[in-house]
Amino acid sequence: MAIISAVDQETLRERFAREMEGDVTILHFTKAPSRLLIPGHQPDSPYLQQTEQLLREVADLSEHITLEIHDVRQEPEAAERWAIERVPATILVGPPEGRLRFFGIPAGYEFAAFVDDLIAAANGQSRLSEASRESLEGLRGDAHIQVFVTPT
Amino acid sequence: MASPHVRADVVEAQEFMDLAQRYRVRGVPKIVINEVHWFEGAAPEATFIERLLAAANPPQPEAE
Repeated sequence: MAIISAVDQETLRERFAREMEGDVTILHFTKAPSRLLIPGHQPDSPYLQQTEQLLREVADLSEHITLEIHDVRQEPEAAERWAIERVPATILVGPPEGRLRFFGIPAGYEFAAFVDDLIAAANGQSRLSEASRESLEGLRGDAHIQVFVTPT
Repeated sequence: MASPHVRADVVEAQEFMDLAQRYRVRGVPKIVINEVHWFEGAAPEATFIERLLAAANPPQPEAE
């Protein structure tokens, strides 16, 4: 059963066709479900499979989108290279080179933001105002921004 | 995306409750910058940028 309805898929397909000019890779990190529950370890996110399915459906909607899926247990070097400690993790790699990461399922209201970000990443465009971009040139240190959200 | 000095993570709080607890996320959105600076609620763009610069730039020495 598809996560994104047929109507929504068509709407997205058309939007990507209209607005996406460049290419973007969705780099997704997940892990195969474990059968053991180890005390003291963080339990796996219940959304691993749904997130993967959701991303597959999105990637099918445009030739500009490539989806790469890595299992952190089977590919620890990839996880280390991209500094992934928790899954599901999704990195958008367009011209900005993967500085935008999502942890957890981009569902509900977050899905709209995810789609906007996908298009912006593909086009290498920021949606900030000119004034903001100028202010950002005054940034001298590094900034790690974490935005905590919920799907509802 | 506008600056190579900036890295942004969107974290779904319900799936990563230990992180939500570490950063004391009670309402969303909660924005944490460089682990220690934070604010809650959606801020207007200009305010956000100001806060980002305040958090990430080293403090200026007092002018003579």
